[in-house]
Amino acid sequence: MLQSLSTQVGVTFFCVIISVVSLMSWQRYSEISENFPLQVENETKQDVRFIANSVANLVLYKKSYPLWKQMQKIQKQFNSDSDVKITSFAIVDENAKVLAHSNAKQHPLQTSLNLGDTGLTWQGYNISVVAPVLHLSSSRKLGTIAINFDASFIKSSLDKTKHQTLVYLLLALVLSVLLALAIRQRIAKPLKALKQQSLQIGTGNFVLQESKKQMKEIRELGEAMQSADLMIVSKSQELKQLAKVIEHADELVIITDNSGVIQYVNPAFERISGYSKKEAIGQTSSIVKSGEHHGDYYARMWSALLAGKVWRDDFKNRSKDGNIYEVTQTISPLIDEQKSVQGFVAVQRDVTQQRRVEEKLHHTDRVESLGVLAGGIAHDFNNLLTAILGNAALSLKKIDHSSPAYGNIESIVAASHSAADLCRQMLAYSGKGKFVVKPVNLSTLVEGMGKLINVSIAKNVVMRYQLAEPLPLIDADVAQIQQVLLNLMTNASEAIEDKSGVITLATGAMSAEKEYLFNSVGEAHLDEGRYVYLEVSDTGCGMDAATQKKIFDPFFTTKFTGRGLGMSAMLGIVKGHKGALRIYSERGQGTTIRVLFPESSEQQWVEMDELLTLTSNIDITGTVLIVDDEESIREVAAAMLDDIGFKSITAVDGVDGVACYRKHQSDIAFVLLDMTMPKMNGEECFRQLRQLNPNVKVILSSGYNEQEATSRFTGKGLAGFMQKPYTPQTLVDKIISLKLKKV
Amino acid sequence: MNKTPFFLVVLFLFTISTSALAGSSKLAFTGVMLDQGNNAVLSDFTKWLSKNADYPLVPSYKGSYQSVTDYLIRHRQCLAWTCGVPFIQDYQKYGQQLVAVPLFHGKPTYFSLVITKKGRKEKNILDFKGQAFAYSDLRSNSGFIAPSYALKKQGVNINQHFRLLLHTGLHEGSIDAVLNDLVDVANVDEYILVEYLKSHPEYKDKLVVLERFGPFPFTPIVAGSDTPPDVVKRLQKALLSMSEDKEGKQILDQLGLDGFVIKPVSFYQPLADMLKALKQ
Repeated sequence: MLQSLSTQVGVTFFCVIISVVSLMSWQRYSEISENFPLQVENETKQDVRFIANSVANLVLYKKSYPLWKQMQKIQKQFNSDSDVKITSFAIVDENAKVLAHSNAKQHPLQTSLNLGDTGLTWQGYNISVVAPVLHLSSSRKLGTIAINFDASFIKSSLDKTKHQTLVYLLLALVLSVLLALAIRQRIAKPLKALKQQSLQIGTGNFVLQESKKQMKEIRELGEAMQSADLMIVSKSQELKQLAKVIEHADELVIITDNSGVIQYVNPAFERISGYSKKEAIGQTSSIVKSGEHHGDYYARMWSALLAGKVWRDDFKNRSKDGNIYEVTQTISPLIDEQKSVQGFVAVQRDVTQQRRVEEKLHHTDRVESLGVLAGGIAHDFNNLLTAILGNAALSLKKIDHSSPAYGNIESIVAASHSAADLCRQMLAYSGKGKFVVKPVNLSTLVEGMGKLINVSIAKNVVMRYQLAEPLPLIDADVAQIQQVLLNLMTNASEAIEDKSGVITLATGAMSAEKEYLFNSVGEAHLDEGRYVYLEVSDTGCGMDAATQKKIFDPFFTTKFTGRGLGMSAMLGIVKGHKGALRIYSERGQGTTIRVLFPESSEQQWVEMDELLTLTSNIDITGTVLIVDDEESIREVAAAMLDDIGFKSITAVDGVDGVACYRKHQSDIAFVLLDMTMPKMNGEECFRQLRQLNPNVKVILSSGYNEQEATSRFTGKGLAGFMQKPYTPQTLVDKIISLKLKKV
Repeated sequence: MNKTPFFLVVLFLFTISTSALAGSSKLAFTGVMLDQGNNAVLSDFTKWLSKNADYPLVPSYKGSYQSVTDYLIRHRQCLAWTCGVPFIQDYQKYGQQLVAVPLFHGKPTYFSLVITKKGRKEKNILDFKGQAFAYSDLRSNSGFIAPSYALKKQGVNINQHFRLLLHTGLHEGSIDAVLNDLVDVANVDEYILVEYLKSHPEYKDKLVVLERFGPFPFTPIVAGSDTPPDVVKRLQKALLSMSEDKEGKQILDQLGLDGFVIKPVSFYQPLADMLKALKQ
């Protein structure tokens, strides 16, 4: 309560008044208690002198009875008139013989009595005055008079005065209290009003209530508050803007005192670190310490900061959930006017995602470089294999089974197929191995591979299927998906080794968000949306984090006999299908790999194989323009066409091909066009051929996969695609499909 | 009935001067009385007598019997109410005339009483040897002459018998002195003591009368030597009939007296004899 100014003033006033009144009262009482007896003393002396004079003649003539009677009268009259009472008297003559005594029995007349020395003595509140009785004219001493007075009224008077003083004090106390309350009220009222008004400070609504009765100080205070209100409003607007900037900034803002204790964090900090304001404030900035930096680093940083320097650097922090987030930060010391460091403000930009993207890009670059290399090799190799396989196939047709070379040529064909498989894997790794894309039901595909799966896993492994039905279709190359699944099954089985274990194969559909996809393995930017997944879980040995990071690197393997291309090829296939991978594994705890494929926009399809069965006897005749820069390809293709009844014209590149087509347009049934050629590539050649004949039938042939090769021809009327190396039968099948389309 | 002033009239005289007879007369009281000027009964008595005797009188108060004597010597047509002893002395020396004698308890006589405080062991005045004695006036019969004579008869000189002889000026003072232990014993007029105790009954139990001397002729009303005989006769006539007058009777009742009688001067011879004996 004493914290209130008005109360303090009131109490001070009360204390001062009561102190002054008390002091004055005490002083007055002291004066009275000192002076009053003196006054009584003087009065009694005077009275005694007066009495002595009044009885002088009686003393002179020693008239005892009149003297006694006179003294009786005097005593009676005196006691009726005065507060001081005569209690006794004695008068003796010059020979000290009693002339009159109030107690005659004890002091009979004419007996000797020594009244003592002249003067006044006190005994308690009794006053004894001894005075000479002098002759009225000659001043000769006639005798001595002694009168005892009862001055106890002094005590009662002083008591009365004391009581009066106490009453005055009490009155003063009451009055002081009332005055103090009034003063308090006088001060408190305007202050309360001002306090009420002060609630508006900072809102811009402070209205100064002016009154002539208002105290000057209060009025001035009000004016000052009004000015402050305006200033605060102005400043607070600026601060609000700044605060809004900080609050909405993507950058983390942390303010600490000079001990590093956090005073403020912005929402970005809360969002990224996981620590709420409440949790962070009061803690040191070490709550996000990652442990990734050496002690020397911190020593250098604090040394610079305490020296008043700004510290800029990348930094790794640990969020509340234990994850590391990377920031690039600027820590600035907050220096006051005395040049001392009062605290620090750190502005951090979260670059975790950026770093991941950079890393991913770096990895992607590396993978893509390898992919380009692998794709180039596979392309060229396929061209070679086309010639080898084609010639070998033709040779087998031309020689008798009993020929000793027959077996050798078959070995060439088989080796060529193995080489083609290797090329396919290389192309798959490079993401360019998808050939035949069509809507596929993953559950159906898995069911169809039951026997193959059982063969690919060890006997000590139990298979479990959790296949979702119905399942949305995906756009996929069945063969590649089969390759992926077998790869996963083989790896899962090998992870279980020779122990007992379970492999669970599951399919399903889910919605994947961007963040989820970003944190998956695959293309950097995949569209969020509905995905169908294929998931293989095993109870095998599992992988540590380091192994998980490397499993997609080409030629990385944990198997004694592995080539290290399985997982990288699988990743290529998944990427080729715009899909993604997620791996959940811990050493000793098994592995789960989930492969996601985007749902197909086309959810119904027709089995092409069924159509092929219906059209077995089709007429195959005409001239085919073969445009390929590889002479061996041109030769083997021509031989294959010739073998099945077609005539052929060859062109060495695109320019040559256009010229040949212009020359023999009317004879040419279709064009077998290579994609990659000098002078004019397949794309330009196709465009020019279309200019010559919009209905020209072109089968694109490439060492790259269909997706890669045909992506530039989408909607341009490409009749078909044929993957190198192809066999005569492949060529026949493609021609039949063209004929069917024609029909 | 207010009896306060009665005991005050023991010794007084009132004089009538020649000038008083000329129309500016005044009555002067004296004697050993206190508060003389306030004694309304004496004033009433003076007025009544003046009226009924057809003689202008005003009260005049004197301090002692000697003053009365002196006054009547200077004013020989004045009257006085005085004690028997001064009268008999002044009759012989200055020719004072006896006017009338009051009746107290129906008699023109009274006693001198020896009084002390109750509870004392003394039985008579002789027992107070060496103690203090109070008296009203040296010429007072009851106050001093009678006890002196009584002691004289027993061979004791009053001046030697007591340690202290305290002159009080009036009988009331002597009573007062006894009551307040100023003295041990006193002799007072019987009439005064009776009247005193009427107005102060609380002292009845505090005082005791040890002895009575007398009876003695009562204190008379006297006239100066030049007072005309017819005046004396009118005065005597008025006083003799006073008890029969309603107003006079009322004043007499207030004075505690029954009336007045006329006596010859010889009525006071016992006092003269007593004085003579004391001188011897």
